Amino acid sequence: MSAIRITGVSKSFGPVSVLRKLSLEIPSGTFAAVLGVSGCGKSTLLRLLAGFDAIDAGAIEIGGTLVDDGARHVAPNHRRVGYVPQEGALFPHLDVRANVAFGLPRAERGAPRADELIALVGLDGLQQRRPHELSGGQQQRVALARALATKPDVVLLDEPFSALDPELRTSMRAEVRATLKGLGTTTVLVTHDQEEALSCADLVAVLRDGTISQAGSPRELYLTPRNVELARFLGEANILPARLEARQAHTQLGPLMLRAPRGEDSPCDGVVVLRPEELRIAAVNGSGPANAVVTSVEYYGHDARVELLCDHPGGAFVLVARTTGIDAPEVGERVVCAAQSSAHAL
Amino acid sequence: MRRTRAPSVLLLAGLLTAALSLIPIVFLGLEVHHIALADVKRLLLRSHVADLLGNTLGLVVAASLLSAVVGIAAAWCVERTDVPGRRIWMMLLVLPLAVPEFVSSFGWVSFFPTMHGFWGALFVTVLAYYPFVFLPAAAVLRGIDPALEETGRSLGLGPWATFWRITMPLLRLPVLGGALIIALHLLAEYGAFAQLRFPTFATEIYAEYEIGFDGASAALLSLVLVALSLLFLTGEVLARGRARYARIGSGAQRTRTRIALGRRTPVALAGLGTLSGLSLGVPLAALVYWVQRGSSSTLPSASVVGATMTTLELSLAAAILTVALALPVALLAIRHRGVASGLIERSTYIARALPGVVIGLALVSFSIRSAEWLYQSVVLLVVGYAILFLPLALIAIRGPIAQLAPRMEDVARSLGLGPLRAFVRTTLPMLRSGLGAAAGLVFLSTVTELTGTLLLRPTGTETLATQFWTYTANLAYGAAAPYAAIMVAIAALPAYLLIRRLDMTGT
Repeated sequence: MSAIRITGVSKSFGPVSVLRKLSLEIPSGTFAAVLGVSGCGKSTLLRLLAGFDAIDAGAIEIGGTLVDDGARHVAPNHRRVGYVPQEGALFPHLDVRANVAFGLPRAERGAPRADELIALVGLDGLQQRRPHELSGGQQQRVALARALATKPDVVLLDEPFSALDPELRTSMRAEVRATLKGLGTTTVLVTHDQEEALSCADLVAVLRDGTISQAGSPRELYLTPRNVELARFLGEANILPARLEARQAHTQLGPLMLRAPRGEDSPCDGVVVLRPEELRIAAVNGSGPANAVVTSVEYYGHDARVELLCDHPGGAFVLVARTTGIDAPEVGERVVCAAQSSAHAL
Repeated sequence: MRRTRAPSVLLLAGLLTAALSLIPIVFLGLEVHHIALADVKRLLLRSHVADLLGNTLGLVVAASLLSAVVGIAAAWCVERTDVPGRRIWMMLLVLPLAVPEFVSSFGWVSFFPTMHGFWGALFVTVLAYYPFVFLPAAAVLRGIDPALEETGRSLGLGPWATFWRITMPLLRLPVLGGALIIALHLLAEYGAFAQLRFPTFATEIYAEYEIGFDGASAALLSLVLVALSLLFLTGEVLARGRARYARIGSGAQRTRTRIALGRRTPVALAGLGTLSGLSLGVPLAALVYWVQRGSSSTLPSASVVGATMTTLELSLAAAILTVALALPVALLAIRHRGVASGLIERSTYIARALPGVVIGLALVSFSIRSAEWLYQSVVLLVVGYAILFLPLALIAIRGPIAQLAPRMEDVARSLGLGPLRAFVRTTLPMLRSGLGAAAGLVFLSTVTELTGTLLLRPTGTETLATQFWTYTANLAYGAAAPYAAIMVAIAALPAYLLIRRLDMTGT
């Protein structure tokens, strides 16, 4: 069953059209990420799901119930949707426990539920703290516990990790994902960080120009993007012109196997996508004649980003490759460069 | 902020300011010290004093509560709904602060002569003082991160529950601060209550001084009044100290969607219109009416010009002196925290609890006892203004100073400038607008000052306020009105500029 079904939703603010006929289905229990550059409308989408704003046209169903169809608008307090805003937005006049218990009916505010949730997010013992006495990560955890207290069907996370420092961000991501997956809650995470979306979501939806340009598993999106823009958006990509046949492509790097056979047999012109880590570079000795020269190396320790200028009768062309840190070549070195896997054709 | 030793010039200047602000309370103490204990008891435990206390406290409670309701409601309309013309309403709702209380009470009393006693006083003071709640309430309503209230909604709260459980707690302390400022004003106000014939401590002290029959009694009542003021002042300082629920985190705040009023728009417009009409319209209409009536019967006297010039000169002098006295104190308090600067700052705080009538009385007593050459001099009058408005100037320049990085001066020093030149060429220019705002506030307040001026002015010196007062006391409304009209016109300009500044820093 779909926990969230968004059908043809449009939303404008004055003359500015933000979402255009956007459709998306999120199955129950999924951890979904909506990925887009800042200003693309992803926060607007979240606010429409929460019910803070009303849609202009289309329909939104949550848990099988129609909550907005452009005419009838269910108020946010009747949607059973938990919301974790950016920065947490803890109530500054209440301590941790009162923040978590905020949404519970008066009779239950003293009950163990709040303490259980505080323990669940790993903050046991901090019940009496005030929001300003907490670190950024702790504030986010309290905000999550507060959203979970009312047992919502869906939890919305609005760039919750962007204010944290990089190390904390990684661990918080894993922790929050584990907590929400453990509870079986359907989650929608909004982010501009493709690494974040790919690493913690089951379902990634890329939002561009007010509509979902592709939705699927992280692997699907990264390896088989629908177009060149998406390929580039989800990470660095080498785009090579190619003559496409049924099962292989002829490129400047020679013939490459296609990741998925094309439906038609007649050859045509297109491009293939090669991620930097799909290229292998080797020292000249042994692997045949050199076909490229290293023009720059960015060394990160665990790996290195290498820019190459490849020789080709039709004119030299630039490739970006990624090697392990140990194998990183030197600038100016002549190397052999080849694709080490099949390619994705567009 | 780093702590550095204060330059001795700065310390000396600060000490001078502190000494000046302590003069009134010291001389009040001396005056009371001379009274026999039996007399103290007899004078304080009168039923009359109990009546005054009841009047004063009753009005303080009622006016604060009512102002809070009116101020919050108006702020809600302007900040949270899509009511048309919110910038204009913002202006109109704050402008009553530019009309002195004794002018607005004159407006009402001149139209409705029976408007006396508690209810009249309550009505007029709420209309005059609700902006003290409106301003902080509007700032809070504008400043609250919208995510807080939205989170409340997503946790199952309806709009009303959200208001009571999230918005109200955040409004509470700033509004309390505003209410306490109103209380301080109510304690200090003389002119309005004299016109409304509502006896409070301030009117009683003035009356007893005027009659001249009991200096001891006036001093004792002053001490009670100062004690009350200190009480409210302490509350206000505490409320302000805790009112900073700083926004946590650093991310950008979303702009808020306003509540669409739809068919309720006329109701909101009518409410705001009525409020502005009563608080601003009626007093101004009274002035226009009486100016017209007056000009048909009496010739405009040359003394209007004279009083205007006197007022402008005195106000300018007061503004310059006050800001000059306040600057070292603010610099000490912010840049050079320490025992000495702490004491200096606190002694100027005490001045906030001193109503004009008390400062006037104490300075008269001081000059008679210790400095007869100052008695009834312009110098003493301007010094009185400076003591009275020093806290105001301090508040206005503290913020800008706190925002300045002392690093600027360090850089100037490293470029080869001496300490004084570094200050003059970096800090002072950056403080220009802050100092200007402070001077504007003091100027505005001096133009409309009545009580202290009545007590301290040299014989024959008439300001707009005192001339107005003399004529209204004789029920010569037509003759009085032009003075008030000019006074309001002068005060409106700095008020307008200040409101614009507040509005701009607020959004």
